[in-house]
Amino acid sequence: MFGDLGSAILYIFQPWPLFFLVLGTWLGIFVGAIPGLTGGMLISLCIPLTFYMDSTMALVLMVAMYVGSVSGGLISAMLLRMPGTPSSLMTTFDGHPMAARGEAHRALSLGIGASVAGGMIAGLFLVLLSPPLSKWALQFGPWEYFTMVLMAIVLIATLSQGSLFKGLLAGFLGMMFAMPGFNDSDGQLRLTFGFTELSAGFQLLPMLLGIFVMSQVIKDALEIDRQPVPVKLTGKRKPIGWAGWRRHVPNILRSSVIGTWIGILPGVGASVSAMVAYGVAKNVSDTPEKFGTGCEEGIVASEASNNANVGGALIPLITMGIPGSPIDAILLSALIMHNIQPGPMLFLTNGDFVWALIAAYLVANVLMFFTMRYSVGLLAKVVTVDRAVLLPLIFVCCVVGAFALSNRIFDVWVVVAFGIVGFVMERAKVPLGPFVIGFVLAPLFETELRAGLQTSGSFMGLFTRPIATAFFVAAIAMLFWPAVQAWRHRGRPVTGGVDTTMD
Amino acid sequence: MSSPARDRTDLALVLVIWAFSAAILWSAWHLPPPRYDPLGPARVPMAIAITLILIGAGILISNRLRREPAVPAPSDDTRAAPLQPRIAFAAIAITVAYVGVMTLDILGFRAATLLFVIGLGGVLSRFARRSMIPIAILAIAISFGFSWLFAEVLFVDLPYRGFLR
Repeated sequence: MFGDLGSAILYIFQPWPLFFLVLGTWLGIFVGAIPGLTGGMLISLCIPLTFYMDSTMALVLMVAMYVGSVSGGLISAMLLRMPGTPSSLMTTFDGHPMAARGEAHRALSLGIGASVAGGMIAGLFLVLLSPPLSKWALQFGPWEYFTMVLMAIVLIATLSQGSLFKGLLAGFLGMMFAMPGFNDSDGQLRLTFGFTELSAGFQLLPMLLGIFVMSQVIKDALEIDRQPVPVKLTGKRKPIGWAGWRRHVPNILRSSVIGTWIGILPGVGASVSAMVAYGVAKNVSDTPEKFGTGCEEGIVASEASNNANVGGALIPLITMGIPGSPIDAILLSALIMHNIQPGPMLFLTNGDFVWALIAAYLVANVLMFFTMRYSVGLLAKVVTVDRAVLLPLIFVCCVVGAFALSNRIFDVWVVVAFGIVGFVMERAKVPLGPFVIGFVLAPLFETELRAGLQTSGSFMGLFTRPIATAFFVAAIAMLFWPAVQAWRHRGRPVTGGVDTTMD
Repeated sequence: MSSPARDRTDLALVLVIWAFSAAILWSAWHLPPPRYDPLGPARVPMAIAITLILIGAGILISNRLRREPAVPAPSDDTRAAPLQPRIAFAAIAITVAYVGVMTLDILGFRAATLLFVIGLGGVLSRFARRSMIPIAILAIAISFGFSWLFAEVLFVDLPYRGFLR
């Protein structure tokens, strides 16, 4: 295991992989730092360019972007009180008050340090858990995969803040949009409504570009006047030192483990782990009343957990082919487009590739730390870049990306249509994460259900498989858990939720 | 968004979902029965459509039973700036026009992109001179730059027919 990892790290330090790693990390931080631009947007936009690249380098680039974008969000969260990415929302509550009272350098240093610590702790779990989990997943048959997809959709719907029904709606709507085109088993054309272009169904990339990019462009146009005034980075930067970090060690470890495990849960993104870790840190703190007023513990909890989530979310992706978060769904799509089938066989068939991916994740975290540590002044200027200049450029990138896929303008219309669908969903507070997960997992859902029915003869075959039964029971329990909780807490005041629609 | 406004939005959303699900059910109903496997082409889409209809009903029922939050969701002070629905609609219209002129072969990629970037950038910046100069430079750079990159390096022909190609 460690020999493979060592070889992969040596590979990463070769000129081209290192170049893409540095580029991806920097672009990720840059995009993450600008409010309104997200990692999902960046990775979706870069997929068409990676068609011309070696698969390993393409994924190295995208993993670096993922790490960078989750980390970059803390800059605008602290300096603008506007999270650059949804996952850094909790960082705003304490990061901005701390920056506003003249401790911006310290707040940023805490956030960056906690991010790298969270990322590396999750990296340890990624290295240690992926091979055995992959071996365990080799026992999975159709019913196990079918119930796991079901569980992933229910789980992400349940954990999406706001209405459970809207989370479920998004998941099943995503699945529905994956249905048009040829049916695999009999070649029957279905749900095309006369559009011959839909014979192969909606392609993944235009859908991703529409949902993640175009919808955000429309949203940014709607909120074009919401340009916040940044807090200036004044005063001398003083290193925190071991004495300063020592009291945060338990918080970092706890939040990183929370982030990793929530990341492992299929479909749940970094913002949920940041919320949970922040809540736990507040509950166990000696001074919970200071949370929300510029408390260091809040920053550390949020940033350690959201970065740890990235590593945790890669575990189900690599070992089972189930995305751990909406951005992992994009990575899954990229893998499929590069003819790499993620799942338990990946370690056996493409072991070098998997270890390169893990090594890229680890090195990207270190790179992210140094990039943010030494360019925070520059990034602080970048966060207020004029969106009137940026948005047209982003949409043109969408157009060429979608068009280049199959040389047809129909795919560009798909981008526009899904962009409007995504925008409407966001306005109606329907989360976009479950939609993408549903779309990506629907073919697996149908194929495995069909295979299960063919082997067992009936749906009851599911209950002859213990793991599948456990997944199924877990999915049902998660579906009804919010109702049980609501019943138990009836009469108590309801607290406001946090929007995680774009996570 | 206030509660009655949210309820109206949700009602509109659910009606659209029901109409969409009905269209899916109607289309799936006309598909042939399963031949080579127990599922066939129609069962999964029909099951999802029915689930969507039930979820829509769930949204409406949960809205009826909903209690208002005692503690509002955290917000930031940047939210104070007003929304600009006209600019958002203009952005959508310009985008549709951009893709439309390329679809109808009225303009090629370079000319359409040049106009699109200037048009959208101009609307977003309210044609402020300070922003228009970088937007114009960007428009020229990306319309010609992407055209060259895709044609000469990646060997992908972007839409090139039409006037001013």
